[in-house]
Amino acid sequence: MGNQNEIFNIEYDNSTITVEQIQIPGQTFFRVTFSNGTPPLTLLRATDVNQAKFWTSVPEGRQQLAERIGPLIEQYYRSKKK
Amino acid sequence: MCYYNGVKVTRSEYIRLKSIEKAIAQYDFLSKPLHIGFEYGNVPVLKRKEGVEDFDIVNMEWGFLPGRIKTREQANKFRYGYKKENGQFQPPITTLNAVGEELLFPNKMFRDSALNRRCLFLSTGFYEWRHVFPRNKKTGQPLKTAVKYPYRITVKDQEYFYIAGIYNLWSDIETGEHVDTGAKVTTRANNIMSQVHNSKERMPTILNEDLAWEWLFGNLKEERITELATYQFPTEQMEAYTIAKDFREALDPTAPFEYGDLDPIKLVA
Repeated sequence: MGNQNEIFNIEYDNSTITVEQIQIPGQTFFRVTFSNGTPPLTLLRATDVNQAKFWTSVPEGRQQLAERIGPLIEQYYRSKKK
Repeated sequence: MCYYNGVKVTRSEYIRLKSIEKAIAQYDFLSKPLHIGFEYGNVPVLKRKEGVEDFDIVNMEWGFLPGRIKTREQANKFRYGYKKENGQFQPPITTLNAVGEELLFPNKMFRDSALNRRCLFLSTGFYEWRHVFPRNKKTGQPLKTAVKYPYRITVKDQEYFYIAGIYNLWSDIETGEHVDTGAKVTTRANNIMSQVHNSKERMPTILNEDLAWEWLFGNLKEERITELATYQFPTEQMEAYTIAKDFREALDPTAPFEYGDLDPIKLVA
């Protein structure tokens, strides 16, 4: 059911993590795999009650990690556009 | 208003995120033919909804973590072992599997989960190694080192089948991470599995639909829990075939591979 898109590496916490962009109908999310034994993380952009965007983990439970890695993914795409 | 991951969101956004959870879960389960236990990754599991005869399909971390493990760092030490201050290596404790015969032993870490948190691992097939000891050409005696042949084992005519499991909701006190961690229950090997997994003669406790339902929803006495945990799925309903030795790196790890020097296993019910 998913279409695999781009896979890229970014630096996080002195190691390289692999990010896979995945699209399902109506939604893009990211699957992050770590080389240090940390379980894979799925994250995406959501909207809070004040209409502000924020990064969140899916399923719930790893919000702090999502908030740290989400901006790195944004940074990757911003630098790609330049 | 609702909260998702501690952030206040509208009801519609909450529903959207929950829907995405299910979609992602399906994506994960259906797209990965091979889960390697020692990677401690997520696997598809049927988990009972509290108080009702209904279940969710969830991503569960394969590798049971008991409550005494408080942080991810401790979990890694628990799973991979570590060097103690005196220089000695503390070996890892492997909790990918739980021995069915011992689930309810007093003080066993799995006991409370077996009584209260049973689940079903969803599987399309699993992998085991058959050990064959070649014979010395001169003496005819078996050599000490075995040649290992990997097999994929499936249930006939079933795309998916159920393996009895137990789980524990584990929390990391440093990050607030909550994750279900589980172990597959194992039993004594039946005829086909005693030939394939001949080094340990164990197999996962595969349950047919009726028994799986009972495992998940039954109000079971201890004797019945042990009966189900040690159930041997019938040989005649299982299939096993050899696969390539590098199957873990293969694009399709399920592809059959024949070894000319290997005697076939004998299927006796």
